[in-house]
Amino acid sequence: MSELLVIAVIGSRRCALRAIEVQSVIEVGEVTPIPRTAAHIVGLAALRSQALTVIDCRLSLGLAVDGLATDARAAVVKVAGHAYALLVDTIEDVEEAQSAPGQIPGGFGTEWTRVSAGMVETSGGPALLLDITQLVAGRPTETMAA
Amino acid sequence: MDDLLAEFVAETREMLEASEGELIAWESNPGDTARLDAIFRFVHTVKGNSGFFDVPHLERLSHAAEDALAEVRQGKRQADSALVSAVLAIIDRIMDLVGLLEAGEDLPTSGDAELIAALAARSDAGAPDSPDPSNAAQATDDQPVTREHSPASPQRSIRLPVELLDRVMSGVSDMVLARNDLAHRLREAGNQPMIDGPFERLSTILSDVRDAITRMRMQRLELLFSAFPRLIRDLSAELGKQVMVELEGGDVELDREMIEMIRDPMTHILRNAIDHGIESAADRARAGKPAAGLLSIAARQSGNKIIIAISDDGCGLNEARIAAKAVANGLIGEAESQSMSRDEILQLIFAPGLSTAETVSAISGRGVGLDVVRENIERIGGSVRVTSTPGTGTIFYLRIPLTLSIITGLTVEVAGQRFALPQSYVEEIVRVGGDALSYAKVGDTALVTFRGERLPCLSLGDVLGIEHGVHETDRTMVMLRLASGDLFALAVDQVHNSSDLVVKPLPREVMDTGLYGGSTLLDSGLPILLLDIPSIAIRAGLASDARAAVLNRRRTEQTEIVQDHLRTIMFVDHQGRRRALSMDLVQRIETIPASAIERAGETAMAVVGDEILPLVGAEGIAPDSDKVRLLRLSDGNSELLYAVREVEDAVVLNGDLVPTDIDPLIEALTLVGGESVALIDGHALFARHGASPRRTRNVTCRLPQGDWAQSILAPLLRKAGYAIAADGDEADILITLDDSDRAAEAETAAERQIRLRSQPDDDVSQAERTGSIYRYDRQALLAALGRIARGEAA
Repeated sequence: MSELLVIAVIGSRRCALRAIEVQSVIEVGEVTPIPRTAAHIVGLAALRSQALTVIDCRLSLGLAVDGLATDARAAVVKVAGHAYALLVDTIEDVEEAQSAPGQIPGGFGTEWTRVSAGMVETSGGPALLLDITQLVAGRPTETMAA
Repeated sequence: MDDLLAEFVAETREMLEASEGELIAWESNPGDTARLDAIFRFVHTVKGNSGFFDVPHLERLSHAAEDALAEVRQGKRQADSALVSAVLAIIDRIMDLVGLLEAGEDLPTSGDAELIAALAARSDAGAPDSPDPSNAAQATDDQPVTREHSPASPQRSIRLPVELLDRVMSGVSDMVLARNDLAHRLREAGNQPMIDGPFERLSTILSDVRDAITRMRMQRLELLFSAFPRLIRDLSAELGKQVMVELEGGDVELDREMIEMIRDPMTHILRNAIDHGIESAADRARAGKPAAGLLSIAARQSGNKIIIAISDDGCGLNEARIAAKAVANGLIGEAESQSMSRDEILQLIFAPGLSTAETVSAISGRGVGLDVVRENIERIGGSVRVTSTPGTGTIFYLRIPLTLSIITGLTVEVAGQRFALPQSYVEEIVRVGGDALSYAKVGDTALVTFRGERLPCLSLGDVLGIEHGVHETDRTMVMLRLASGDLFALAVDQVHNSSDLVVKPLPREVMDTGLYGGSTLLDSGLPILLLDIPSIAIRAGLASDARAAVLNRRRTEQTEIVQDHLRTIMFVDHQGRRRALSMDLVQRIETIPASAIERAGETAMAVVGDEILPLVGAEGIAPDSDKVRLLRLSDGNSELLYAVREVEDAVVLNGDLVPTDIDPLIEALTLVGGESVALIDGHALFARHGASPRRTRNVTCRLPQGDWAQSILAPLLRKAGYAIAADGDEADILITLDDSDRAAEAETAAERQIRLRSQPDDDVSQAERTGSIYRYDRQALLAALGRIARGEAA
């Protein structure tokens, strides 16, 4: 179980992304908003000649963003051939997974269960392993609203 | 060996595609040996190749066809439809076998004998002597000749995986963006001749490469069309109908992947047309139509879409039957069917589970309906519609995007955010509040009246759910024409420039809004969204084919009214920018050597004839150039020169003018032939640069006698640019003081005299005050001199 994980903090919770899925970590510059899209789609940002769709993970999870600071760093991932920048509270480190993703009794809460592939142990403590496809898709009701 | 076999398979397919159309043409005109050659060459090559690859099976078939064709070529046999059918059957068989070869399967041998017999049997009937060895020998003799013909492909070509092309394409797109970024930075850094030259060259090369790459992905629609005559022939023969086919627009180019994507939908529509559309010969005769039905396939490019119209002159769609069927299938309610327009009902044929054919035939009733056609077309970003007139025919319109990832786009702004829209839709840009357009609010809907047409108006802010930055009466209208012909206005805060945009796809979450077609990066590196105009129009209920026809008719009537538009002269300045100037300002075109131009800092003057005039647009003129073209402009009083590189044309600006503040000398931007042109603000130009011509030959004045004239008046006049005439010389203006020179006064015309007097205005009578000027009234004196110098009465 030596899978590498990018540890990020989303809504003050410790989360993990599979390092293999994360192409890079960037500072998000100016973001062009996209009117009439779901709330978690913040807009478009440029990475060289590539346009990234910026996703606010906290909104994607239906968390309140008030009072949560962000360091403007985002993980760049690719889902279905499109590049996304996942905006989080902070990106901490790359760590090795010390266990396979596992479920816990009682679950992680509806929103978290939807985006989560399970809990993993890392040297810094437990973290929720995230499914980027679900993060990008956002809350089902939201996508309907568009 | 495998590679060679793959080559063989590919080559065989390609040759067949090329000769399909020929086959059909040959059938209609058997005497056309040029067409026969192509078919002969095909079977001949297949024969040669199959011998080489040791596929006796294929060799046997192609040999038989070759023999039969050779006979026809030698005139021993008449080509009839039976022969054509037999040859076609063999070619089909060959293709089946080639497919099996490719898949690496065993080749079945059964059935070949019958096919060959079909050829031979007819040849017995047609010509008494069946193929004999001498004929075969004859055919072999032809070999060297046809061999020389066989490199018929005029271009050298190689095969490449499409994926590789895609990679190169996206690489070039990225290069264009990097170039734009660099250009932006260079502009910010100011002029750097060391870098600008090579950069210019790089840009040129890059755009050449980009064009070439774009073309690499394109293929002519002919490639697709070439298969249709055969298909139509087979189908009509099967159904016992007579169908003629007309192809048009085969030279339209489309992305090669797109061609593959529309092959099946088009085939389906064709099948449908022959099966259900075109009536039997007997029915047609009853309806007073020619026995043979006409199927026409026409393609044309319209902006970044290809429109393919497939029309038949058959019985048309039965509206009542479609509606009844739709109600029966629960697609719509009974009441709904009553309220729907004919056009809406016709579109129901694309709904899933609706087939009006009473009997399911072998041709169309294969469980694949028009719903699949629509689905496939929409999946590639296209759309399909149908129009039909009962008794006279049906037309299917397919609109297919070119998928060119580089388009020309217009950048517009709403609430400080920029959006791009494809230039191809832009008809005109009109400013609200101008004479050309009136804006009215009817309920919650906005309408504009433009050239006598009342058009729907969308506000981009409302479409996107954002607040406009400017009041609705100060907005700019972008008049957009959809492929269907519908015209509507889109209100935006501001229009920026138009430029080439590299369009990148957007993820599904964003595409689902139905508002955007992609994203693109501005020169500054900021990503912006490309608006999906047709989709926006459809969502707003603005697009319909039926209305387009009405609008078109009304528009043609409107064009009769001559509009009072601005006549301008269009030119390119020395910095390569296209500019337009009101024709009324232009006096004439002057040509001078560059040496006649004096430059001092920002300003420049030029000597034309014996006058020195201010020169605008002198930046960029080569100093050694011996012919500089200048527009001589006049506002009635002052004159100036405008340097131009090239005068393009006299243009009537009927597009509307969009005020801009990018340059104080530019009054507005407008579109001429799809390109933006800046109209020069004549007022600002003259306010800033205009000057009365300073004559190199000064106006001379004759002064009165006396010390006052010599010591006080003369310096004043010289300073104002007048020359003092020596005694006895001719002078332009006579100045007298207190009736000093009665004799000269009598000689000189009154309008060239200025009379001065020593008494101030307050001390003299009214008559004297108007007839003469107090000698220390400097302003009045200079004004009077100026009036005379300009030839006006004093």
